Amino acid sequence: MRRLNLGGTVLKKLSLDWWAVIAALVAIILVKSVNLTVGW
Amino acid sequence: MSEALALQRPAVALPWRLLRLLPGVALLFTIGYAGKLAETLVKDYGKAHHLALPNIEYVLWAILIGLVISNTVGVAEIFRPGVATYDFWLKAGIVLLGARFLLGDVLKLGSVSLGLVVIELGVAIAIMTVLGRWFKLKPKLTSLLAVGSSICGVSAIIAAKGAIEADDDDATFAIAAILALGAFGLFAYPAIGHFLHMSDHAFGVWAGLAVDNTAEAAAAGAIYSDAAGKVAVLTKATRNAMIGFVVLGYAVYWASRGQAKTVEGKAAFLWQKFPKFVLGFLFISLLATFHAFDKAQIASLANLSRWAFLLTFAGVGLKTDFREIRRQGARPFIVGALAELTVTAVTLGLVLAAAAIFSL
Repeated sequence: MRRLNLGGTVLKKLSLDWWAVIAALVAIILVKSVNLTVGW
Repeated sequence: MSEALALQRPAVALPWRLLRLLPGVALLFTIGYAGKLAETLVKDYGKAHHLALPNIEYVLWAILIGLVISNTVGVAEIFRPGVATYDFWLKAGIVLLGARFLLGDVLKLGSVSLGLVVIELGVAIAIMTVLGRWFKLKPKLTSLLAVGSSICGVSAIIAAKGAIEADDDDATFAIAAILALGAFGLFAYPAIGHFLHMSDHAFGVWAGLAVDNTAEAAAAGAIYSDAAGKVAVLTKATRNAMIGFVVLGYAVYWASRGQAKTVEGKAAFLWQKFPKFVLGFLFISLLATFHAFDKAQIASLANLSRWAFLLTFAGVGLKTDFREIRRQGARPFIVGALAELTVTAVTLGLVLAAAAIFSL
């Protein structure tokens, strides 16, 4: 229980900057692993 | 029971919070895409009718459409949480932009920018302090305006507000002035750059040095050219990285006068204020330097970055409400404008000198 609570706290404490980094890393993983192609 | 409730709450709240973002994000996307379509339509119309129409970039269209909406019908409540995500898209776009830079280029351009940033910081803070005294602004409002104009606009003001314990009213004043000046800069800087025939590189450095808010700096660069947009973001990121030092300086100053809490653990304070997305940008640039991506993957990441910026630019227009700025009164705006004009002239001189010395 406590561990889950801590996890929640850590997630809540992540700043917008870190969320932006995480989103970019997820995008990289998708581009590299499933060959996601993005056009313009 | 209470623990179980505590565990359940985030699980229920998160999807709801994400759902609330959807209308605003859809609005950002619609406006951004409309800007992209407008650019293509004008270009095609000019070609079809053999007319030399000016090439208005999608960036400017997206900002203009957003400005018209926010200053006429306004942004309805349902869209506001999603529109506020423009800052998230900006930062994600900057991190992804790292794929288009090799670390060597970042360090080379970053070191030139850093020297210019340090001079810009000194000039901006000194001018704003003197003007604040002349116009008899409240000292903490002057501090907020100095932080906002020297570093990175709104986020620096918010960071400084907590550290120096300034009033909410002062922060609102300072943010309104910085946003209004940023909106003005979007149109003025590219026009000046074209008038002076500045290279993409030199203009990008200037936009990154002189435009206060990161979103507006990226937009001003992108309005000039894609290459200038890239350089503007990198220079602005260098400037953003200095936020902790300047805010710490002001926090220590106000604490020494007994008007703010003493800062304990200065290293932790600097880390807390450091913009972490800059680390993400450097990390991805490091991956690109070690050939972690092939050409197609770099193209996809660059396009993802462009889409993220598209949402940001739509948000820049939507969040700029000139009626709010009028309500805040003229004095902080005049002080901000005078300081900005001086900083603009000084940074322009610096960049033109650096362009001649370092062949920017």
